Amino acid sequence: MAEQKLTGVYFCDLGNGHAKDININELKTYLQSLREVVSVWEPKELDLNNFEETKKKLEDLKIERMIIAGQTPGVFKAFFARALNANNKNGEDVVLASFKENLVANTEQAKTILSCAFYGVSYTLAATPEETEVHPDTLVIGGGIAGIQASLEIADAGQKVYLLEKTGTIGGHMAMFDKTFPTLDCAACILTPKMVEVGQHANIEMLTYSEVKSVSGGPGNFKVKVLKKARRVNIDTCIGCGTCAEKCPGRASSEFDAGTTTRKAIYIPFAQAVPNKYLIDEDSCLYVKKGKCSACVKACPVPDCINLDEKDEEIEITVGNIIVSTGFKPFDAKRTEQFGYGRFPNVVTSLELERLINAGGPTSGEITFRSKDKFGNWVFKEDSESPKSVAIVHCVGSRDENYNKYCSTVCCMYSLKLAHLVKEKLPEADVHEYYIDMRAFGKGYEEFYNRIKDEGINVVRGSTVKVDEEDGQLLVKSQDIHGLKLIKQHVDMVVLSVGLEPREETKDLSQALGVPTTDDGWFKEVNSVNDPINTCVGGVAVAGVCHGPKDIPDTIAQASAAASRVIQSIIKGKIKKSVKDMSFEDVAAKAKQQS
Amino acid sequence: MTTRVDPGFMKKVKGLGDQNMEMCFNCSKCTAICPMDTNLLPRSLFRYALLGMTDKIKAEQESIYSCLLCKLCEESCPRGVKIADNVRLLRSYLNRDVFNI
Repeated sequence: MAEQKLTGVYFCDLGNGHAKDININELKTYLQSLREVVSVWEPKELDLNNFEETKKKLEDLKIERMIIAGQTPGVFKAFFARALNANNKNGEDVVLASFKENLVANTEQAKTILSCAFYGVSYTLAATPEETEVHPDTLVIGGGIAGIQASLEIADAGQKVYLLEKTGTIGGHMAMFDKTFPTLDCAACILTPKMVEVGQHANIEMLTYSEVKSVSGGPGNFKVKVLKKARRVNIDTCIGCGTCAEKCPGRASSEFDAGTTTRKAIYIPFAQAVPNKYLIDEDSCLYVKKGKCSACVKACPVPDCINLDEKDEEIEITVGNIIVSTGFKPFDAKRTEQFGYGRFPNVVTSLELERLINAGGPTSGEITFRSKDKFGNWVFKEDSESPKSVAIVHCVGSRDENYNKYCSTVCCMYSLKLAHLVKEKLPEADVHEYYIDMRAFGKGYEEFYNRIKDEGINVVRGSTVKVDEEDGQLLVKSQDIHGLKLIKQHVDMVVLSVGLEPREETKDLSQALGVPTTDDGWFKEVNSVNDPINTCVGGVAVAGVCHGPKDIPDTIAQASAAASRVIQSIIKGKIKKSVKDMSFEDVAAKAKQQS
Repeated sequence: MTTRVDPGFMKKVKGLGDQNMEMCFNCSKCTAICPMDTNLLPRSLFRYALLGMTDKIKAEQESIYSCLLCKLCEESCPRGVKIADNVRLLRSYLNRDVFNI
């Protein structure tokens, strides 16, 4: 039942940033149309420094209830509660209509929030969209650990999943890691069993080397056009023998090895790839570019396995739910020129070091100097010397208004991990780590940090500002904040702990799905506190780093959560439509009904 | 030895002009790049100012005046601290409150 108390509305601010497009006159007109609203005040019309005057205004109008509206209305709650109490009314009758909390971006949304406040019903309860039928198939976009986990959960529940992956194999970034923190598990050892399970699962159809072209339809019934790029290798008959690659003259930088080595134009991304098949990269294939060469075809033992003229194919699939798990890209260390990445060969990124340390990497696990080969390319050679001192620099491209303001969450932990791995391979080496704050936020992380300090690694609070070259070595400039000493440290190798960024393709995907992104480019969830899994588009959930930087345990947890939402809808046979498609009238009507 | 701290100090300094020392999150990139090679400029100095440790500020007058205002620090600062302006503000404070200029 509506309370029918005389109500006043105070706009505490309209905010900057989000709320530029709010037409306060339209809001006032709406509010004044409500019978119980006796007065609407704009920010300047009430002097909140004069309690007596404001109290009197409320008293004269016999106001029993206040709505405070704006970006941060909570600040004023106590003031108005006091005023109501002083007038012998109920100080608890103060309702907040928070624009910031509800991501209000325009007048219609503001009106919606105000109506919920007026009827005293929370927005999340009022904005419950209608339900509709749901197709039982699911599309998971992105085949990293998040996508793999979500797919397995849904497939194990007996439902069909399409797992779409842009590169030739599933596995994502985790497959590139040597060890994971804090347990120092071999990353591939815990990932590949899941990859194999996906590859063999009857309910999972992998669409590798494929991309989303367009999405139409709606929640419960999405029609997705998928571009299946031409592998030029028959995925069913290829036996993965590799003879083609032995003969191939084409070369390109290896994506899986983070550019530390090259691969052929016909290649398998890594030995444990799923599917374990070769593919041809058209940008480095001489046949595709110049019409010459068919060395692979001649070498291949399987007839008609390689088709150099294969064309891309477009297919359409129908799914009821979509999970977005597209991951991230590492921050490009070339942008932080002050650290000399790209100028000094022995300034490497964390991913490059990870590949170096890994036994499957370019040097079979030896940490060696980078030098030029006979073509002038920078390479790591197995028989090179090893560095005797290494410095690890935190926060490259993160926590910095010149690049990305946010903290990339995992770099502190992976930096500690890398320090440990370096010390393990090179026990005599001096390992220094320069940090601003040590973010050891998870289970076992603080203990891991202490362990690293005990291993004789020099962990220093004091950020690195510059890396120069001096006397044939690299010179790292920092300050030891605890000891109040300037640091000019000569080292053989510098490792840049690069942050995480959204992938370039995110913008197109965001448009195609209608899921908004934050200013930084991460996909937006419905509510960062209550529901960090669903998006404002019905039937579309997010999992993993594409939602925001996080570690592997949190990624897996979120992927499982997204899977449970999907399974829930399939069991019910119904799915909720998009919250954002609800009009003001829809929500206000629901709020009135529930009040 | 106890340190005397005075939160009212920053209020006084703010009266002299705009400053944003509180944006600093103590990474010390500025101190590491400063050509004057002190351990004070500018991060520790700002910390003293924010805490109102006026004894320390007065003791370090030479360093405060030796800042070249070259802004190498500002270029590297990840928080957008207006270091040169903040230093000049502290000089202003010293001029008025200490040297009575």
